[in-house]
Amino acid sequence: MQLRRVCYTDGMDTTFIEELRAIVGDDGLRVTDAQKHVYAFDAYTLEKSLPGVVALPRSAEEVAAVARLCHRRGVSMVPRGAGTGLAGGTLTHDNQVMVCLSRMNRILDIDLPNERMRAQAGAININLTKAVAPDGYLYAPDPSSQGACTLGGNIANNSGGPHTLKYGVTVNHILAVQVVLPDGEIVELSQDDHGYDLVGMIVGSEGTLGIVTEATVRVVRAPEAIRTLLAVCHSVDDATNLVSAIIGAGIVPAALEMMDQTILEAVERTYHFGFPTEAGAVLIIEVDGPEVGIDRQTERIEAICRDGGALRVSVAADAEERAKLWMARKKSIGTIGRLAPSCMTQDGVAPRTKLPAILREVGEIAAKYDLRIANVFHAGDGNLHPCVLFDERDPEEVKRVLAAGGDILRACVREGGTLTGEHGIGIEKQEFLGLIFSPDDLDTMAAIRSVFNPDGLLNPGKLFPAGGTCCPQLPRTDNEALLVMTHTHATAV
Amino acid sequence: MDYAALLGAEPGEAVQPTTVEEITAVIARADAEGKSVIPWGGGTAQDYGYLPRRCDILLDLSRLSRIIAHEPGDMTVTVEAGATLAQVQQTLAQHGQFLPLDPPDADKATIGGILATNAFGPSRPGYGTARDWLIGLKVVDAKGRVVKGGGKVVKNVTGYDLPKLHVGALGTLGVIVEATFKLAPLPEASETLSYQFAAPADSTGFLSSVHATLSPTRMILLDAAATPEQAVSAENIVFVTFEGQREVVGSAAARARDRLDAGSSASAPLPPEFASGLTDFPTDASPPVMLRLSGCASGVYERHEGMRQSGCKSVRSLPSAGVTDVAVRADEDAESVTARVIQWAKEHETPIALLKAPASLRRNNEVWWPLPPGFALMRRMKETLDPNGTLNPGRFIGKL
Repeated sequence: MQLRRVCYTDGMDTTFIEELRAIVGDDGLRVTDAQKHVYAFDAYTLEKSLPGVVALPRSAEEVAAVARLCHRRGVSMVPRGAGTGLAGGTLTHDNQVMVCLSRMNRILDIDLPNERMRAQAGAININLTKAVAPDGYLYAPDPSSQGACTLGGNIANNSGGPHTLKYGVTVNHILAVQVVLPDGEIVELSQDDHGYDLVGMIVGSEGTLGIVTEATVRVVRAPEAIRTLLAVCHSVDDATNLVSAIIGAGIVPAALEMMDQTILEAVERTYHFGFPTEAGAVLIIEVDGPEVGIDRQTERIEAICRDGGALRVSVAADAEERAKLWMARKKSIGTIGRLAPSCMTQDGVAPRTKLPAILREVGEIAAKYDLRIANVFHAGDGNLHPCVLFDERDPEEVKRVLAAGGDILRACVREGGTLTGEHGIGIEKQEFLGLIFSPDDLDTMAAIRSVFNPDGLLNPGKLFPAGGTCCPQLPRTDNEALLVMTHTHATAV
Repeated sequence: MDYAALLGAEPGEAVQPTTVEEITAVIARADAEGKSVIPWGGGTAQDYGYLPRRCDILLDLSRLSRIIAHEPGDMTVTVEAGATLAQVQQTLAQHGQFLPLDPPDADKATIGGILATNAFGPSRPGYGTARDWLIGLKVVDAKGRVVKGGGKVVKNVTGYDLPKLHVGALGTLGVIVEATFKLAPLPEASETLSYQFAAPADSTGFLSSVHATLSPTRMILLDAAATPEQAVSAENIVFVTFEGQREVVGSAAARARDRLDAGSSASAPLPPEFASGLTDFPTDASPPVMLRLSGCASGVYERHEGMRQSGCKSVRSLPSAGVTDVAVRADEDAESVTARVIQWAKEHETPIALLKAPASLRRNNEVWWPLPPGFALMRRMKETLDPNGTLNPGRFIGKL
């Protein structure tokens, strides 16, 4: 059935919508409130807003045409992939166009002799690996949302994942990008090119410099052998000390993850894997490489764990057991729904040797604000994911959640760390940027943004401190407007 | 130091600061007075890039050379820009760690210079380049402000990735004063195979097979014709290095050797003393000119052979990095070889850079070809971050 064309929200005039329709077609437009509710927030659920309109282009040319139209009309655009972002980077207001790349999901070219692959930005992360797995290759960055998140979203946030400890994060795997600039120009940037590293600038820029429409990624050979260990520890302290001991011994595993008791409880209630819920924490440690020598590496780690006071260390017996461990880890945040209606995941980073101290602080912050905080994170590179459990219908509790989140970030910075390891700044952490960067640092970043995005039409109000150079009208996470909004939309969405 | 040979002119003055504060003062003054600043590290790569448009203040960073903090437990190090790579490695080795970069002249090349020129060596296939290890950077910008990006943790997406912008930028957007790197453990074992093959097809066949299956840290293909000093020609020479865990290295090296035995008999191991002298390219200690062709790994042998066919006497390729270097030796005519190689590159649509050349050649040739599709953005970047053209003006691609 054809949509009724009269059902527009405020803020978008009808001629504009018709011009958009001419570019992306009827089936490429979402204009009714019911349709747009799907796009009102990403995995950062504390703030919600209906976009003015959602456009779903099918090609770079369509993205460019949308950009030219928006540029001409002075309308701002917000790019989005699958909406799995955890920092609100895709929040779109009712006077803005959301450009959703999820229909541009094709894998375009596989070039194994050169260990690379070209795909559209909306291609789902796991599908990259699936495309080359039969030939013994994989795409290394593996965020927990890899079954849904898109390549373009990964590029925007420079996404990580458990195995990036050994293999590097997204930026280490992006060889070239096709980008639509805010004025509609399509430009190809490659690491093979001479000149400034513009690929390095685009990756992690959270959709504020250009809309990535295609990318060439590096693929790596799948390891010949894999061993996955589970170390059961009495306490979080014991587990984090083991992390330091393993790294200190000069071992960089493929992955080194920690889950605390609260997470284990949620996982166990959901999947009944038989995890020891009485344990204070477990570590999942994975090593990979050629078959020869992998057992010695495994034994070294086992010995370090035992010497470091692990209650039990076991090695996954087969691929099935290994898959179970990773499913528990990667789906763990999803299981938190068993414990609380809402969850906010922080992403601060601390130097690896500071993990014991910082997790003690997280515990103290939980007690101070009377909140439950679960920890499941990339311990090997010091990237925390404290999950603050709450009920977003309780405005008082939301206030405490935000305050606790702020305290956690400040603690990370105090220990020599930073605000975000892989989720991005988005709207969630804008006001904390000043903890890391001086006005001169931020001024330089704003200047870089102006090189690509001179009119500020692309994803305005994100990444930079809201009170600074952009969009002072945007609700800040520490003000009353947010609480009102959260409250209103929570029931509606 | 013959500055004019490197920069095309004598600098008006030279300063040798020991603190970041002094550097900010020098640059702020230059920017206000319309003077240019030429950053200088170990001076090992000053014959790279176009000649600066103005040559007013030579900013020598060699005395800003402290190792600020090595945190073995975190596997990170923070150093000042003027520290040499060798000096840094020495400190790191005390704790069994290293920064896995092996550009030429490690004894003289400084961290700031290595970053500014994005210098790399044969280990690139195994370890990547500077951008893969750099996690934090402090620069002094054209206004004389200290600007930083990244941090001291190994995973970080807070703000734009400013450090990457300065890697390979030849100091045209800011003068690097401090850098933080993540580190790797020193490999437990290392083994290098070195062979001379009878024919190019044998050497490239061997390298392709090793690359496809054995994950070597380094692979080098070398062709050096005989010189008046060294009568032996060194053609079709191959070096393959495996690094890492002892068993893995041993097994990979054994499998590589098996392939040689099973394949062509037209190969012979090189005597060790000969081999060790050849891993440093070029064989002639100070070639006046070096050119670099780059592109996909699959096209590297064609480029290598193309250079040989064009009569180049000293050609080295890093096959898995897709890089082919040509050194013009003292017994060759630099101008005509350079012209020939550039012409070949253009005919074959292969990106080329003049990596090392005297002032006259850099004045009369394109140092980088072609201009990339993103050049308009690059020009805007330079104009935005250095509007007065204070930092190394005219030196970079497109004479930015």
